[in-house]
Amino acid sequence: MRLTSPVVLSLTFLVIFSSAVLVAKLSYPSEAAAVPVMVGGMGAALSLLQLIRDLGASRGSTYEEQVDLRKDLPVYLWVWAFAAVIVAFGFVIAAPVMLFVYLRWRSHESWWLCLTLSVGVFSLLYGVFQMALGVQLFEGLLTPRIQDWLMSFLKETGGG
Amino acid sequence: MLGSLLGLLLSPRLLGLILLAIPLGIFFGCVPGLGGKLGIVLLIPFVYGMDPLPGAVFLLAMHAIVHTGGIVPSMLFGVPTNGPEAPLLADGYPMVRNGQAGRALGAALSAAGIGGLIGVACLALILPVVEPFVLAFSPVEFFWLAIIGITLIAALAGRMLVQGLIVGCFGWLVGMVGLDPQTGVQRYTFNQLFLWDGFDVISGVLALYALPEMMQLGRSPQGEADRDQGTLTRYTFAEVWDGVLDNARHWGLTLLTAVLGTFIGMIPGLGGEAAGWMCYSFAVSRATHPERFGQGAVEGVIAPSTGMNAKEGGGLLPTLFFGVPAGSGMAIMLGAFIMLGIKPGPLMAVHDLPLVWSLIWTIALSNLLCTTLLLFVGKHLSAIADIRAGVLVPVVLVFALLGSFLAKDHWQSLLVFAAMGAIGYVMRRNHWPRPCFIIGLVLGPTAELSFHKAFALYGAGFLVQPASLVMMAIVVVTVTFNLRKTYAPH
Repeated sequence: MRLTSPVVLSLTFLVIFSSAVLVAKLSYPSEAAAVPVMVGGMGAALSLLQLIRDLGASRGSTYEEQVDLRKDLPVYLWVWAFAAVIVAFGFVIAAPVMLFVYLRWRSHESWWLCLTLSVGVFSLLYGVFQMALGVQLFEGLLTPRIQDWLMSFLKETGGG
Repeated sequence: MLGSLLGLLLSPRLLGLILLAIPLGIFFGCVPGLGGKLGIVLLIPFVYGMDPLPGAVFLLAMHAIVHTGGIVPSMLFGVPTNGPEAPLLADGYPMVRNGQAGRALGAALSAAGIGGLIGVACLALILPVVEPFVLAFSPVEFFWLAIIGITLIAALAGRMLVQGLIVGCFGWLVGMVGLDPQTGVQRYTFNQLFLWDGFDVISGVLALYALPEMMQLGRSPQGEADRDQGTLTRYTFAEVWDGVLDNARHWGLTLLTAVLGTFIGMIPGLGGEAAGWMCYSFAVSRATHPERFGQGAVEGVIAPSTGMNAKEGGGLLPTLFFGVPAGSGMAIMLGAFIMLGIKPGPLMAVHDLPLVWSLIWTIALSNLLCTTLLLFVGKHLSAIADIRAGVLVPVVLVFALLGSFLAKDHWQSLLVFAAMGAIGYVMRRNHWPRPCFIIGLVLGPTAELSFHKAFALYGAGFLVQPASLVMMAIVVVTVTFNLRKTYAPH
């Protein structure tokens, strides 16, 4: 028996569906729980069936197109890092910075292209979305605090 | 009807949006791995806050011509940029290899344009009888329509039926997140405010499509097509025009496959790939020399091109009037319509007919303009397919994250996007059918709500009403047909 990616996927769905049934049974009134229990139960049964099939297949298989962490992880980690930077500093700052990081250090593009695209994305988000279209993009959890701190710092130094 | 056309043509804003959507649609069609579904979700940020009509016109104009845009690089390089273009290669690529690139492109592009126009013409002809028909529908019929849509998972999943059902159940389960429509109880919200009003289709599609596709593109160099064929892809406009005239020479085939494509488009669950292949099979079956197919027969190019574009017009019917998307692309379009403030359902036939006519004219106009444009500048567009994955991936992901945020206006959506993207990626690597997720997500809640309404109106007796019995029979026939088709020995 090998822990192949299909096995992990089936197991993940089995856990998700079983948890959904359990939560519905324990937490919701019967009217609200009926459909979640039915769908979750069906999903859990099918996932179990698939898991058994995948476990059987994993024994006999000699080759599987593996999820190659060296190839797959960098892009995925970049997405998480991007999401984290957006949460901290907002779209207008995070998008050009993270785009530049990817283009320069993952894709090894020229400085010229990295800068052009980053400035282009900044112009699009700030100029087109925020200014022209009036769409208020998320400004991050830290940016307003940094702005406040800077303002008070400037006031103090200006006043002193 | 004509007022809507004039409204489009005389409004600089609407006309401008159509003209802007056409190059974007061609771009999404030309770049391998993008396509119409991703196109819609990536353009959502740009229509955010727009009025319903301009927003819908922009998205639909882009979506209607994506496959036309994909024809050029698909046929010239022999690599389908997206699934629906695959049937074109059976005869289109041999024509290119035989030195008939201009004729093949002329035939395919004009057939796609004609298909798009006939598709909306069929829809326009059906429209007058739609109103009394859809208004006769009660929650009982809507419940069964949703169930019929869900059973089409069997068609979408093919031989991966169990996996398709698992993914469909997962979509349905995700669709339950939020307040229960019957009792108002919070379900699977984990006391998070951003989950109270449910999980939105756009975020789900972005997580399950955009991230996995970009991770796949980002892990390997972009697929290298055969680029040593410069001489083969050189052609003159006279050759292109010869291909256009092929549609007139085979006018019966063009007309019939366009009508066939339109009706395939109206059947929920059958996508563009089905329309293309079914029209191709139709062309083979009526040919006097079927052995020419696969060797570069021009009919093998005309039939799938016409079918894949004609189905867009047909697909609008169930999407707009029943809220049941005809395919995964229309499911995403449905989510976008709802986000724009359009309420698909039977009342559209009463209150929103001008909007419906505007959308019909939008498909017609965008097909006409796109086909004309590509016939003249088509060969230069093949260069778009050469955009490096290293540049494309981060740019697309910037817009994917932006779309995911704007869909709900909550930063937590970004974390859901990243987490669900991992599941989507492993699903993609193992070839699990991801469109089933969208079917479950869109139709599951509709089925549940309609069930509660029907039960409140008629009790359990609604299950034995004549309409229920007929639709139950349709469900059984559909499932049996799809299972037989999938598992029958070849």
